[in-house]
Amino acid sequence: MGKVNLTIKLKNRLIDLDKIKKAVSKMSAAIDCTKRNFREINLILEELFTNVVCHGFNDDKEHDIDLFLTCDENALIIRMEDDGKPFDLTDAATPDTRCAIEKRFVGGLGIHFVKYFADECKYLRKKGKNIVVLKKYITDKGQADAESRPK
Amino acid sequence: MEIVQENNNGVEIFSVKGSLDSNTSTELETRIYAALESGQRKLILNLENLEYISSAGIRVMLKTAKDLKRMEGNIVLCALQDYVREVFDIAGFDGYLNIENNIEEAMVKI
Repeated sequence: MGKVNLTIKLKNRLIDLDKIKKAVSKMSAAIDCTKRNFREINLILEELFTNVVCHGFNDDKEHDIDLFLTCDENALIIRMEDDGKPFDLTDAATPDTRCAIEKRFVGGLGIHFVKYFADECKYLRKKGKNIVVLKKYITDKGQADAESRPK
Repeated sequence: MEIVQENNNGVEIFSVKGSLDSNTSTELETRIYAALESGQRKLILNLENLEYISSAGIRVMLKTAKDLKRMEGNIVLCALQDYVREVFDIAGFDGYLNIENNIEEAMVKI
């Protein structure tokens, strides 16, 4: 399994999601990850990115969003940086998935998916930037090692 | 993403193939609301060939279900692949949306 280091330069526009999808396709071929992992990584990245594009900025200006993907033998590290409003996703409320359909709050679902499918999740606010760092195990060994560690 | 749309005995069936994400889900939404606009009140989404869905795709289905409930219509989803089913389960829709195993069962439930 090869190591991967990718930097993806994005703008705050939904069409740039295609850049992410292409990069993930390339990367998944290089690291030989399962179809399930491939879809989960795509979902995490899409929800992270679209959340920033749709809710991250108070103006209509163009903003840079930088995505760094680093992969070792067992895990993918996702780091995303943006200069939008401070938003700590680790602190975001989990949507109530049990309330009646008429009252379901549709927002928050994407971040709920990110937190569900990522194995580790960190947030920093540094020099006016949101920095999100996620870890996603891509092999059974990586997952098993993580689960056997004392909590 | 590809959408094949047909009408079977007054039921509008949308067969969705590929990926339903933030960029493609608007097309499904447009097609669904055009059908509602033309008076259709019974919808089936056949997801047999849907390989990927994000919250944007789920949002379209939730919005449609809410609007159809108000219009006294109905929407049934069917033939979800395991991964898509899991995403629905995590979202908590297993109890709200009618989800059937295949198109035949969906036609009975609609």
